[in-house]
Amino acid sequence: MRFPDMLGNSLASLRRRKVRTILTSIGVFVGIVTIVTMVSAGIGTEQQVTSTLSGLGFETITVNPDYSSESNSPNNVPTHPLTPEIVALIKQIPNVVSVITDISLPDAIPEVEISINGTSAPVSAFFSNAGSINPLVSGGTISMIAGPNFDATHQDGVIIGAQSLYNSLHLVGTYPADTSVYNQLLGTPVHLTVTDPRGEQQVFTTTIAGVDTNSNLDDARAPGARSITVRNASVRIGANVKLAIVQWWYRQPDYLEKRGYSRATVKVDTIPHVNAVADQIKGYGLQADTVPALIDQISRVFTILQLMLTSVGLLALLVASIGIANTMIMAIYERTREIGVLKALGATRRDILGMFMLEASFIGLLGGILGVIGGWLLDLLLNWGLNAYLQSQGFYVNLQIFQVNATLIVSALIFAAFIGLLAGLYPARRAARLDPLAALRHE
Amino acid sequence: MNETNIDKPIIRLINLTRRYKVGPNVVEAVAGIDLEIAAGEFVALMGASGSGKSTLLNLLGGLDTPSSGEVWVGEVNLATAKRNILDQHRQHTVGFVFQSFNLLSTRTALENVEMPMLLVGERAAARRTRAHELLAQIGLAQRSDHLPNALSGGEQQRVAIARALANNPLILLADEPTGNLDSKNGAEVMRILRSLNQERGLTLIVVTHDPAVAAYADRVVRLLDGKIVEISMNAAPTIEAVPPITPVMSQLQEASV
Ligand SMILES: Nc1ncnc2c1ncn2[C@@H]1O[C@H](COP(=O)(O)OP(=O)(O)OP(=O)(O)O)[C@@H](O)[C@H]1O
Ligand SMILES: [Mg+2]
Repeated sequence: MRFPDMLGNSLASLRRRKVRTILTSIGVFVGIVTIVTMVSAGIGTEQQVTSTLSGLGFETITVNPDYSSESNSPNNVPTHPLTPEIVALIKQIPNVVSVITDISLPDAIPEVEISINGTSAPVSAFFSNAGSINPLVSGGTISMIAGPNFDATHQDGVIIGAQSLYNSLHLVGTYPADTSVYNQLLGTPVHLTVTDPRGEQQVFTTTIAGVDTNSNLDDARAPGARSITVRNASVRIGANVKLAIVQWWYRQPDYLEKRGYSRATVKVDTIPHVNAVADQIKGYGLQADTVPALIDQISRVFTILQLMLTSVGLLALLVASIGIANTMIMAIYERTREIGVLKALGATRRDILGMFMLEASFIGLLGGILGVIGGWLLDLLLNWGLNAYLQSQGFYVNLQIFQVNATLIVSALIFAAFIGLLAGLYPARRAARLDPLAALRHE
Repeated sequence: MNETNIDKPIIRLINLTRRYKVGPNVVEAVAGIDLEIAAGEFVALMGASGSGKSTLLNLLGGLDTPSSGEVWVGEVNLATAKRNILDQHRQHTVGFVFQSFNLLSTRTALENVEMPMLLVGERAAARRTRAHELLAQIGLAQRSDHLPNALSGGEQQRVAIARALANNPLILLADEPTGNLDSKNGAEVMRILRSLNQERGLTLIVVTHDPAVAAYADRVVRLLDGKIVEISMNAAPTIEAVPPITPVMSQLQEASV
């Protein structure tokens, strides 16, 4: 018996018993819907994490010096400072891509005034690089309009917010202005005036190194947004400039060697390496905070959820396979005489076995096809519901947490057919081994 | 299939025995039969109910296995043959015709005739053509798309004969082929079988209770309690000149070459 004939034969038998075939495949349908939905949640989460979130710094470690053991240390000197030597050691840890160091200005500094071309404004932001801003906390994303961002090698000058150039410093007449306008400002001298508690003032002269924009500020200044103070300028000061300020502030030329950097942002090549690198940094007595620790927790919850629901799916498939086996045993009982006739006409055991296994596989496959379609529709519904809920809670996001891909579809179909095949194995074997004479006598 | 060498036995049974265990008792359905049947011979098996006729026929067809003895069909001893040899035997060497027709009820007359060819892996186009030819030759061309329950008993048995011939077997085994038919339809079936035997040289073994059916045979073998009790030659077997059947059968012979 040739395979296409066997196939046609099995399909014809199923078509003769449409209702029974569909009812039997419902079990598979339920199981596959559940499993497809679960796996698609895994695919979607992973995809969202790697594409959307990793760009925001999830493969970074924030390193802080350790103050913990002696809080009464004079002048708040850390017990394990983040000195240049330690930074050099961190750079040599495998999988570390870059280390961006930063210095915080002391909280005691009442205000830094920025003055450019005669206009001046108080400075509100002391961050010196985008990497040091926790993406989960700051919310807005910073993007450069002119000049390079601060990075591991470039820490000179100041980067000023485009909004501040317009609102606070009045250096440009519009917002947003043409990029060429911002480019022309690069290199303009900047004077930062710092006043110490005794009233002594020091002016630090540097230049405009770049212009950036913060999406949060854009939103805040959108029409109808609640007013925020626009007096303060949003300025990011390069770490080298801040080093000069703190050296003067503490009157300590060897500030770095004694107190070290305030923090460092360590970039690791891929997320899976983050924890190992963080552990090694902690070995130097430093604090190392990772975002993946948070992701770990989220994904553990997800894994448990997936495990539970996948078990439900597998249970449904187990029940479904018993249903298929039952249907096949029934079909074989009804067709015993037919099997006897076929054997008398020359059907081999393999022919009979193949016919019934194919039938069972088709029942599984039918449930699989319906299940994949159902799972996909459920995914659309869940994504829609999830985003609608998040938006009602004030999160304007469009997360596609449930995603199907070709691999999932194909493997779900193969799996469903395989469940059918497995369920059909025993009944088909029984049919194949029927004694032809006994089968022919069967009424 | 043109050689009708009566002298060359196509079937040789040697001390053939088939025992059935029924509870504590053992029934010898076939109890030590020795018999030779020549190629192209028409043999009728007669005997009382329970004398072992069907059992003998099933042993010849490879549907049953002997308890002891030998069943030689051509060069093959079915008693010791492996399953794949028995499969081939049923596919190519013998064709079955049953008392109760045993057509596949969900398949049309044409599909029933195609089935043995499908089982041996013949392509769809070829088997369709041959099935149409076979149905035309038994006068059922107009019935090819009918399901069995839309056919009369005589028509069903003719379809069953066409189906048995599909793979061009050497031997046709018929177990009371006229048992469920009235005398007119029974006679028609027997005429067809007789012509197949005469014009194609098909070896025929027909089980029957009906002396009129046995009268068509060359030789009548009578069984009792699983043993041969009488073998008689028919000096003048019934050969009716039936206009529509005979020419048709010669075509059938050509189609099968
Ligand atoms: N599968 C079986 N199990 C037990 N006994 C059997 C079996 N098949 C046949 N027999 C017995 O073997 C004997 C011969 O049976 P068989 O069917 O060959 O008779 P038969 O000559 O064809 O009879 P009938 O004319 O009624 O069809 C009977 O006694 C029957 O009861
Ligand atoms: Mg019988």
